[in-house]
Formats: sequence, structure tokens, C-alpha cells
Amino acid sequence: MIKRPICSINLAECEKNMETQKAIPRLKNIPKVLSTDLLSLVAIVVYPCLYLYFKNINLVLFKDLVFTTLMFLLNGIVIFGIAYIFLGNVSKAFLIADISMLILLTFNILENLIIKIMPFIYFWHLVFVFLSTIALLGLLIKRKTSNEVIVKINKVTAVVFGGLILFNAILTLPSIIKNASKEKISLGDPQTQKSASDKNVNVYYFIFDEYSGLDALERYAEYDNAPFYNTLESLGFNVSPHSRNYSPSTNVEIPNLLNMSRILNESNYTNTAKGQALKYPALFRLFKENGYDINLIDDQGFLPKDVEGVDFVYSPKNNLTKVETFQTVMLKQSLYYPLLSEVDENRLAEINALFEEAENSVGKKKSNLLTFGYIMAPHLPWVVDENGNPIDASKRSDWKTPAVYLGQLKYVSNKIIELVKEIIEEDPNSVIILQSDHGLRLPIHLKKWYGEEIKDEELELFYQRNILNAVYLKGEPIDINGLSGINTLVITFNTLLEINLPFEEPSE
Amino acid sequence: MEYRKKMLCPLFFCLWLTIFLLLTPIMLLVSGRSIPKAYFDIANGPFDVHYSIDSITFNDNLFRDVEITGWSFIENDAINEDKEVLLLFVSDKDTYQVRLDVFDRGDLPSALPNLTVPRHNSGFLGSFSPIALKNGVYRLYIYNKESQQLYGIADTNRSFFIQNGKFIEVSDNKQ
Repeated sequence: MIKRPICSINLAECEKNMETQKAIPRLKNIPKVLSTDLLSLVAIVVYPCLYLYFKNINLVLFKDLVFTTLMFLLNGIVIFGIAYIFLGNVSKAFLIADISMLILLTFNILENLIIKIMPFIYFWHLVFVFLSTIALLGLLIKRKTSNEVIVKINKVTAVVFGGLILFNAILTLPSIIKNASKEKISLGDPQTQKSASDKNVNVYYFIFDEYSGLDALERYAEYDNAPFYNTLESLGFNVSPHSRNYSPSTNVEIPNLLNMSRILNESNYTNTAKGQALKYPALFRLFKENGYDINLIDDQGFLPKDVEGVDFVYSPKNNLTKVETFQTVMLKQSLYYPLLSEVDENRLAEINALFEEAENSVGKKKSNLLTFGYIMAPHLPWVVDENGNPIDASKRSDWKTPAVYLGQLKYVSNKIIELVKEIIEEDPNSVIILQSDHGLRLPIHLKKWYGEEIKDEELELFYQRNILNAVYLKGEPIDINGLSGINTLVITFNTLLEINLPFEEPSE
Repeated sequence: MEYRKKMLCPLFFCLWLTIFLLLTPIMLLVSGRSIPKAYFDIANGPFDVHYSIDSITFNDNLFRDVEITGWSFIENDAINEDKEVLLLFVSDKDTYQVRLDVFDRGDLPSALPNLTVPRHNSGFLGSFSPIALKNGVYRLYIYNKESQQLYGIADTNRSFFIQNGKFIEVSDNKQ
């Protein structure tokens, strides 16, 4: 209770004194409420982030979790600040921030549910309802609810969401322990060798994510891609349409390809291990040791930002515009999802920019340049048909219609042919390697996304590992028939640099 | 005073409801996506319009914008700087007009050697939000005006079902 001061001056001054005295306990309370009220906001923001993190612990980096959580926490604090200006009470402002963040973080999920019931509702209606509700709640809380009740609500919120975090953490604990033990596995040190003589040729190595080999395309998309291989052969390429890699996982295969050995597999894979493997991959070391510069074209920022040995780097995306990161997945669930759908519209322009950059690699150096390009196409999002026309946004991840993937594959095939023609014309004495990490993973996605049953998983895995594999070795023949991606690299570089890198076991 | 207080709540609710109901037109207006209604005599087209719709693409943005590209012209060899191309969406009750941007299509004269293709402004490109159209089935016409005297309307024989911003083709008679 605040004692009414003795009014000896005048009523106005007396009222002013009272206001000052009322404000003092509020401010004094701030450190105290930080332990409960702030905790409730932190718990509400952290819970959905941690939930997603725990579900994808093998794929998400801890720093991404921290960054995304801090971003939303800052958002919550801004809302708290605005609410405090109107309410003038810390606990009440935190409650408003709690409710706002809860809705904000799950906005898209809520919107989808509401639209199912009321299809005439649009995003702006829900934003209007959301803001109105918060304003009305603020008014009710300010006028009708005592501070003690609000503090209790915040405490309960903190306990409930804290409990949920703990519950999920306990459920994920076995995976965390398993991962921690995995990280102790040594990745080894893939060997590199120095060539006895200078080769003075440029090497262009491109990986096209999800570019299927001949067999998988016939099986899953009923498409005969033989004309593409015929064109490559007519340009002097050696092709292997039936090659397979060891795993259908990009995260496993690309580090292995760049290290020319199977240092990762699905049982020892962790994010940390992938980072280690890509920090200074053996391929870059091999060429550096042989006097080459490294030109990196990196779609989606697949390689670490601090990758060693790189002299030139091109990446068309910043962190926010990557097709799928922890941050974008969280943002897509939140009120801010329209920002990302606008960004998605640019994907076709980015694919074109990547090919343009690949073409620009020609002439960057007269010789001794290794260009490595990772292009996440024809991988989804599927944004283009074979003629280069943008396709419906609704088809971007339509796994049930292989023709959509096929359209993008044909478009990419045309771009590849244009690219290699340009390289061969300008730099005929070069080496060009075209590969993919895996083929079209239709069964995996039909099972994962639509719950469809796979009758023979081993057999389907065999086809899904069928890759693009073609090598132009200064127009000379080289036998890569049936070789895995790694062994194709080994035989090509052994031939080019006259070295003796070890082969991996054939892919079964 | 009491009466005033009692009235304030329903008054606020009415105001809130009005804004809520008018929110879509407001958003369309603010974003420049309002589509005006048109009063065209569809049968009235004195000249033959040659046209092709090259692509119709659907965006995943808030307004579910539909982008349309193609070409359209009435045979003539003049330079028509003020050429207009409109898409007309015609249902039993309403007709909406979408104004398109025009640009040069240098490839057309060689692709259509038997026709007198204007050298300028034969290509068109534009986008619209189907949210701006009332629910219903619309037939698509192309209004082409080369000059004050030279204009016509072409029936594309394509119809679209629009419901709450969903834009679905119900006939497929692509040229």
C-alpha cells in the first residue's frame, strides 16, 4: 500500500507527488520481475525454436538456433517496450509480449487452420484481428486485472513453457549423447599428392543437386535422357549414365566428393563433422599444392563461410534468402512468412545467375584454376519449366507430379549444354566434370511427405543413388563407366596430374 | 452519460466490423491492385485480333498475383504509340478489365510472315490479383486497340474459376 502524502501545498502538487511515489515501486520491481516475467517471454520464444531444433538436431547448427532465438527474443522485447509505454507496468507489458509472441511465432500455422474453416479470410484480416485482440487485451489488463494476477499468469506461463522445453530436451537427450559420441570419430586426413610436372590446364567441376542418372529418370519420371548424354559425347565428354553414389544424402555426399573419399556416412554424420570435412577439403588442398587457385561458386552457402584455400568466391544468397535454413523455417511459421514468399520468387533468377557465373569462370585465369560450383538445381524449389518459363508457385515442391521436376531438369540440362559448349570453345584444353550428389529421390519423399509405402527400400535406394556423371578430359577418352562420383574424380585427377590417389570401394 | 458509455461499445464494434469487411478492398487499393469494372460490348469488335497467350504464372505472394504474357495485334503497318491491350474477365454479372503493358516483339514478323504485324508494341505483359475479382466463372477476352479507329476484341475460349483468390482454369483451349 502507498501512503497518501500529507498535502500541505496544493492539490495538484500533491497528486504529482503521489504519481512519483507510485512509479518508484514499479521501477524498483524491475530486477525482481526479470526473474519471472522475463523468463515467461524467454520460455515462450525459446520453446518453438528449441522444439524445431530438437526435431532436427542432426541438421541444425547450434549457432543458427541461438541466432534465430535471439532474433525473435529481440522482437519480443520490442513488443514489451511498446506495451510498457501504454500500460506503464512491467508484468502487464510482459504478458502482452508473451501473448503477442505466441501468436506471432505460430501465425502461419494458425492462419492455415483458420483458412480451412473460413476460406474468405486473408492474411491482413488475421493481422487486423491479432492487433485488435492485443489492443483489447491490453485495455482489459490495464483496467480490470490486478498486478498480482498478472504476475501469477506469467509465472504459470514460465513454468508451463519451461516444462515443455525440459520435456523435449529429455526426449532428445539420447540423440544428443549419440551425436556427442559421433563427434569423437576421426574423419581421417584424406591424402593429396603433388604432381611431378605443371599441367597448366583449368579444371571445372560442377555438382548439380538432384540431377538424376539415366536409370532413375526412366524409373521415376518415365523419361529417356539419352539425347543429353549423346550431346555431351558429341562435345568430347566421357559419360557414365549408370553411375551411383553411396548415399542419397547431399550432406554426406558432397563432403565426401570434395574429399575424394568416404569420410562421412549416414551413421557417423553430424553437422560438426560436415563442417570439419568442408573446412579445407582434400580437393582444394590437392589443387592448391599443385599450384592452382580455387574459384568457388556456392549456391545456398553450402560450404562454410571460412572455407580455406579459396581465392574467388561467388554466392548468390545471403543468409536470409536461403531456400531452407533453420531461420527460414522458423520465419515461414511466423507472421513474417510473406517476406520469404517474395524472396522465393527470385529463385529462377538465382539459378540463371549461377550459370552465368559458371560461364564467367572461363577466362578468369588462363590456366591453373580449379572452379568448383555447387548448384542446387534441378533440386526443389521447382520454379521453371523446360522452356525457361516460371511455373506455378503451388508446384514448387510437388513430389506427386514428377513432370514438374522433369521440367526443371530439362531446363538445367539445356543450361549445362550451353555452359560446357562455352567452356570448350574458349578453353578446349580444360577438364570439365559434371556430377550430381544423388538422383531423383521420389520414393524417399513420397514416404516422408505423403506417408506412401515403399515396397523394396533397398531397390529404390539403388535407383535414387543414380547420378549424373560425365568428364571432359581435354577431349580425350577416359573410362569412367559405372564409377561412383568419388572414383570418377580419383581416376580423372590421377590421369591429369599423374598421381596415384587411392580408389574407394565401388558403389553397390 | 451512461447512455453514451453504453453506446460506445457497439459503436466501436460496428466500426471494427466495417474496417474488417473493407480490409481487402483497402489493401488492394493501397497496393495498386484494384481492378476496375468495365462496360464493354463483347460482341462489338470490328477488326480481327491476332493473339497468343505465352504464359500464365501464379505467384505465391499475399495477393496471389497472376502474371500473363503474350502478344496481340490487329494487322496494320503504322506505329501505334498509344496502343492499349486489356484483359477482359467476363462473367454473367460482371466484367473486369486489366490493363497490360505493351512492348516490342521483334520475333513476330518473321514468325508470322503471312500477316502484317505492327513493328511496335505487339507483346504484352501484366499481372493482376484474382482476389480483386468476385467469385465466379469468367471467360477471358483480349481487347486490342491499335488506334482510335483500329480496335477489336478476341475471345480466347478460355475460362477461369475464381474463388477467394484461387484462380483455376476450367477450360483448356490454349492456342
